Amino acid sequence: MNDMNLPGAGGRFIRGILDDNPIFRQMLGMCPTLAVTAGVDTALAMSGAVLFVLVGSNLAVSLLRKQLVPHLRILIYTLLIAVFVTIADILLKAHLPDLSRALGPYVPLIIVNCIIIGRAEVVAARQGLWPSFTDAVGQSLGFALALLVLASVREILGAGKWLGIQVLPSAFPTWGIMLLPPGAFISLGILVSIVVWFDLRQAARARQARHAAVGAEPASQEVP
Amino acid sequence: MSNFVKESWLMILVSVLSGLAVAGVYRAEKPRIDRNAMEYLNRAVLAVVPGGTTVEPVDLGDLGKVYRVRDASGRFVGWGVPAQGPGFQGMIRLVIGLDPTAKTITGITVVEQSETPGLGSNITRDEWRSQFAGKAAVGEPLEVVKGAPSKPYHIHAITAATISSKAVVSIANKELARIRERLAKEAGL
Amino acid sequence: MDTLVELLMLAVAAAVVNNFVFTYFLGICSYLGVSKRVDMAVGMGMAVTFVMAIAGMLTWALNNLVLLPSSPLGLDLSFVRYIVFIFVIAGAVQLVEMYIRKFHPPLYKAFGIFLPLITTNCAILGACLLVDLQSDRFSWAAVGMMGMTKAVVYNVAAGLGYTIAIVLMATIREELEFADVPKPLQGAGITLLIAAILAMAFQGFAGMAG
Repeated sequence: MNDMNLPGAGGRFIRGILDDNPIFRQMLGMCPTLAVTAGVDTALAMSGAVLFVLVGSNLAVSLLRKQLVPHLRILIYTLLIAVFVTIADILLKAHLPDLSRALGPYVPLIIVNCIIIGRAEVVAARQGLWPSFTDAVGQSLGFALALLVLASVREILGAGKWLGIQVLPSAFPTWGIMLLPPGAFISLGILVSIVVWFDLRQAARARQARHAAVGAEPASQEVP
Repeated sequence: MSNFVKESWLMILVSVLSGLAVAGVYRAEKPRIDRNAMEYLNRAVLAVVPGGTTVEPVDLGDLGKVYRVRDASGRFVGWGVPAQGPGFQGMIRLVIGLDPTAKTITGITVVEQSETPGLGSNITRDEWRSQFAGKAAVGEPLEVVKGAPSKPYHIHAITAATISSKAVVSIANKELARIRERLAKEAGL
Repeated sequence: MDTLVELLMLAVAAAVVNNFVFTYFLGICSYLGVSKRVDMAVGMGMAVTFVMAIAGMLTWALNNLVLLPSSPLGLDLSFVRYIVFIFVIAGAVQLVEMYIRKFHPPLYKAFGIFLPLITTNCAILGACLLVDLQSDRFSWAAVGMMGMTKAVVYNVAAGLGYTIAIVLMATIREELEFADVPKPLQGAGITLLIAAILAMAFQGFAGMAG
């Protein structure tokens, strides 16, 4: 395992938020994203649960990384993740029962959330405790960011509220569809497209800069 | 056998430790979880019977469970009757409040619904639900009307959410027909 | 006769009214990444349905007859529920894979990479969890062994509904190959927007069955 090529702890943290954002860049974990973003409160609760599970599982896998047998490792990841998810679910039921009820089956569904297994395999199984921890926090923050943006859009347009507080005048005819499945798909589709659009612009600009530096004409007339 | 152990000792160890950890957390939090479940139902019941402070479940056998509500001095002030039925988009769960003689409705709360947000979901709003308070639980069943209510058993429908409104009223009517007489009898006790 | 109608309504509700993709958002992750081709969508859908049926039956049995406090065993082991569910699913996938590889090699070739992939498919775990959540409909305490029949019907119907959903999306995406999709929307963007329109169409089924 060559640790030189892998990002260090700081790198893992920063990249998790934007560059390697689990939703917008890696396109993982879409199911809960669409389901719990009808309100900002459920989005925050889900983000908290994911943070707890991701940190727990990354640390646990990192602790055991030298002992992992190749063909059993996925099972071990699954077991550890299931344990942390169960604990998170119990804690939610005990201390935030209304939110737990609102989240429904989506908390246990964190077990099959590709983000968590992905991080266990890509980071925790290869790097030490500290980078695994920062990676978990970074990814969770990225996840939370994506969820918050989506939930804010849906709640404000769909109910005129943000975290239950009225932010739009009640004369505003709320776009009920935003709170329903079609609204979720539309919002995420548009947000993802915006991110891709930004990326394409960045790439085109970088290409133009490179060509300008070399003194040659830009290779194509691609306008973002 | 030893090969099996060599390959899977980690799995076995992690399983045992996990089992213990989860069991521990569960045992620690279980009382709280049970209490939350109770409170949730109690809150719904207390919301529909004015003046109530305590709720005691009463098992009516195959008629299901209802709740007797008492005030701070222990006086019997009303019934809380859970009811459910299909709504426009999913199950609607209600609690119907009745006076001790089961002759008048004291109110309804919607405990669970997945109706159209902004339209059918308005069945949870106080303004609409307050229509039920004071309606007779005997005689003519409740009826939803789109225009202005002209009879005492009329309930005004939510604009553009007639189906959800009708669902709530139908659930209430069915439950009252089913259980009202038994409750009136029980009230004597 | 009544039971048959009830089961039919349950199936229609699971497949169409509360479609797993368009109402519960389950099974999207694996789909977005996999492929745009209709035959692959059908293959994946069938594999998912098959595993759902087996896993659904086993998880119902374990949950209701062993784990819950209301079970014949009377112990409260409900806290290991999720761990048991996911391992039953993983096991079911392994079993199905082994069986197909031995007895239907051409089918195994067709399923290809899907089988190991579907362990993490949210739809399967989702179906088991939804059966567990609706205890007044499915639990042994409420409806006895009928609960298992209902659970299996629910799971199969949900799987078929999932298949319908992804096949619909695959057919549309295949046609999109010939359309001029703006660059930022290519891939995930346009797929999600198509899903939005399909979800709107499926809203029309709302209220038809519980």
